[in-house]
Amino acid sequence: MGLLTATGVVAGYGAADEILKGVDLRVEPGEIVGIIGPNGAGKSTLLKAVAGLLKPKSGAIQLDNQDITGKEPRDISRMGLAYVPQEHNIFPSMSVRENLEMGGYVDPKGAKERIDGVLGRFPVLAKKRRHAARTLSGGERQMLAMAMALMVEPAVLLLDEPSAGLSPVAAEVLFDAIIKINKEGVSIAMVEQNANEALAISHRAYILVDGKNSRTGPAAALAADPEIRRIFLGG
Amino acid sequence: MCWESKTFLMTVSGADSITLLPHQGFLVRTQPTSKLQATAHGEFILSQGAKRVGIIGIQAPFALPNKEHLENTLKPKGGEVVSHVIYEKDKPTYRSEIDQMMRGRPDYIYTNGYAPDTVVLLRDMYRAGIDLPKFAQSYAVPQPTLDTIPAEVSAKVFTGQPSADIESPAYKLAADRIGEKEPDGYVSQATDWASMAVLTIAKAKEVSGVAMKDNIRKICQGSGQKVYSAVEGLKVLGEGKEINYEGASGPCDFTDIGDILGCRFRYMHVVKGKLEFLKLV
Amino acid sequence: MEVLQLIVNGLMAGTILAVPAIGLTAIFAVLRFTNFALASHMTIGAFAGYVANVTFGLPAVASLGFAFLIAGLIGVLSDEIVLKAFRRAGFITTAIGSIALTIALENLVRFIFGNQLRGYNLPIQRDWVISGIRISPQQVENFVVAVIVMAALFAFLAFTRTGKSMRAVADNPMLAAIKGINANAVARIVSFVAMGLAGLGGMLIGLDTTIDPLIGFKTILQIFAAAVVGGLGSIPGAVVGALVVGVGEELSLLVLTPAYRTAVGFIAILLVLTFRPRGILGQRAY
Repeated sequence: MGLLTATGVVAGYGAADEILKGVDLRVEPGEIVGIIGPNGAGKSTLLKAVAGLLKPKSGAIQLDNQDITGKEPRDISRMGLAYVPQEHNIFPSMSVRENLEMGGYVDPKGAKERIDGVLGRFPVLAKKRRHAARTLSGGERQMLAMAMALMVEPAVLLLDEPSAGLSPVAAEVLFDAIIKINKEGVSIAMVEQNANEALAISHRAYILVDGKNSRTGPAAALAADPEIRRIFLGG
Repeated sequence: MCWESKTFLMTVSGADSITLLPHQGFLVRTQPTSKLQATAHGEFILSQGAKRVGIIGIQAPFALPNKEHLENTLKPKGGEVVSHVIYEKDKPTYRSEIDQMMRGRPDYIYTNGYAPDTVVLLRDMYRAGIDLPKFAQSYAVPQPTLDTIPAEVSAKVFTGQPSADIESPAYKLAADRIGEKEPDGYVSQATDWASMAVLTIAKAKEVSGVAMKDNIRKICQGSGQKVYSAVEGLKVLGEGKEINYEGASGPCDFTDIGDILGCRFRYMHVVKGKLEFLKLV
Repeated sequence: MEVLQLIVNGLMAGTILAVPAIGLTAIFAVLRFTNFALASHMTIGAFAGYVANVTFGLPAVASLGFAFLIAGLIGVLSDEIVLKAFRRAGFITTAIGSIALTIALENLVRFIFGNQLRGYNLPIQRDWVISGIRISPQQVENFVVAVIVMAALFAFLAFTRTGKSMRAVADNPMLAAIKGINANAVARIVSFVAMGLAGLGGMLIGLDTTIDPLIGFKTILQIFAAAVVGGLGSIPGAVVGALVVGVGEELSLLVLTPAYRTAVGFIAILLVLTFRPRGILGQRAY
């Protein structure tokens, strides 16, 4: 069993609307797992179902051998899983420091030390700790969103398209930060539009098509597969 | 509406415009018009020796006619309206409005509002250090309202109201009937309506709006025998004689359009926070 | 000199107005509807303060605390029992529901206390005259209370965990839920604080004048104008908006007859919505 396992997850936003039609996902300790696929494949929906924002209609999700299927986001967050949404993932009118504080809201004990720790890891944020989050650049906002997630010292971090809307340079900086976080022992499951980059930094990857698993395997192997190159990697 | 359905209406409204409607005689009122009231108030103010009157009143249909009637009363006798401010109801303070009114340098202040705003006015005038005598409608400063403000705030406040004719036998009879020592003007008017209705019906020998309209002036004015209650009037009518009803609120004589011809006014002043009787005119 | 006097009058009135306006905007920021029941909670606060001051003989400042507490508690209850169910049906339904609620609560106060005017047990003082500008000691006291309360509120929002969680919900309710902030608890706290402020504001207005069950209803439009002008949902905006409406109403007397004072609030709304649709300070909660 992996650190995080989802099996046969069926979920959607309405009664008749099934976006996920039985998806499996596994994240092992220390891994970066990329989730790629065409638009509407259900990549983001899968993360939301895992994080507890959507209640799966069927299937099971386990974190560290404990069942988390259908639990509230706050409880799942307490158990060591942090989710970073693609958009609206910061509190814009609050300062960077306050954002971090809210990131660790469920566990106020020792928050001060953790904030200092997180700020130490992200010098850009440390410099702007008193600035309102809305004044940050796109890349800095994504950093902040990840930094907030780290405030609960998660075992697994779910990232929903962290590089969306960023310049190539900013995306590069961000991916470096993701690798760094992973090296510090945080397992990561990451949805990405930028499939090339995603496969480049992931250990393993899942390809979702139309709400189902299409291909799974070591990222390098998938990246080398001619068919996948043709369909998903633009050449 | 009342004339269209041929229903007879007796009312307590003082607005000039009511009897100017095409009511075809289906309406009389026992309350004096704005004109009667403002004229009486003007005479009262003159009798207090005031010359320069500042008016501060609420936004209402009676605001402008009232000012005109007051002015018309003051002018011939050397008085004048030196400022006229109309304010909006429901404001927590009227400091600036009072400042505006005071710019005319009045020696007497005529307030024309209702209780909630008049209280605010009085408090703000006290705070501003204005110790001039002030006139207010009696309904704007009834005793319970005065009880909510410190006595120094209501000093030099005079009130006027159309009065029941307290010297008339009808008033005493009504007081006994109601079991109240001093029924106010409105209570007196209401008992008069009941009496007049009963007598008119008896005179007309018919219960209908048209009969009421045609007969009301036959029982309440003219040269008939004076009666002071419905019971007494019914007896005299029974004897086949003409009557002239004299009411608790006044003589109950009406003009062609249904206004009363005259009535009494009762003036009070506030002494140490209590209303005290001053005079009846 | 006249203009200066008008500005002073306006600042005094605006500061008092700001207290309930903050309540209205705070509820909008967190619960996303305009709660017109604020009007009856102002009345409730004014009467709670009356009971404390006149019946129990407490001093005015202690009575203000009582006004805050009672209005706040009733605010939580009325939201929990009545408005919470409406919220699922959307903004308009909830706003209309809050109007119905305010009429019911106002009449409850009328049923208990009657319709007549009442005054607090306070000595009335003459105005101070400072270089030609008149200002009343009571106004100054109310001004100071309002400023202290607002400072305390800002400190609460800036420095406490609860205050920050309120801002977080106002800022981004979805993310707040992900981060484990309990939206229900925040809703209750907001209702308590906002309606408490309404009650306090109701009593502050009453201290300067008299009170009756309509005291809240009479001012709710000005408060609404203040909140919209400042940017509905923005707490500093509510303060700015209240000062704009307060001073604007006074300065309008230079050109308008006092009979049209209330129009000023609406002219201000019109101007602001035309040129700055999100209000002077926008819709940021803080």
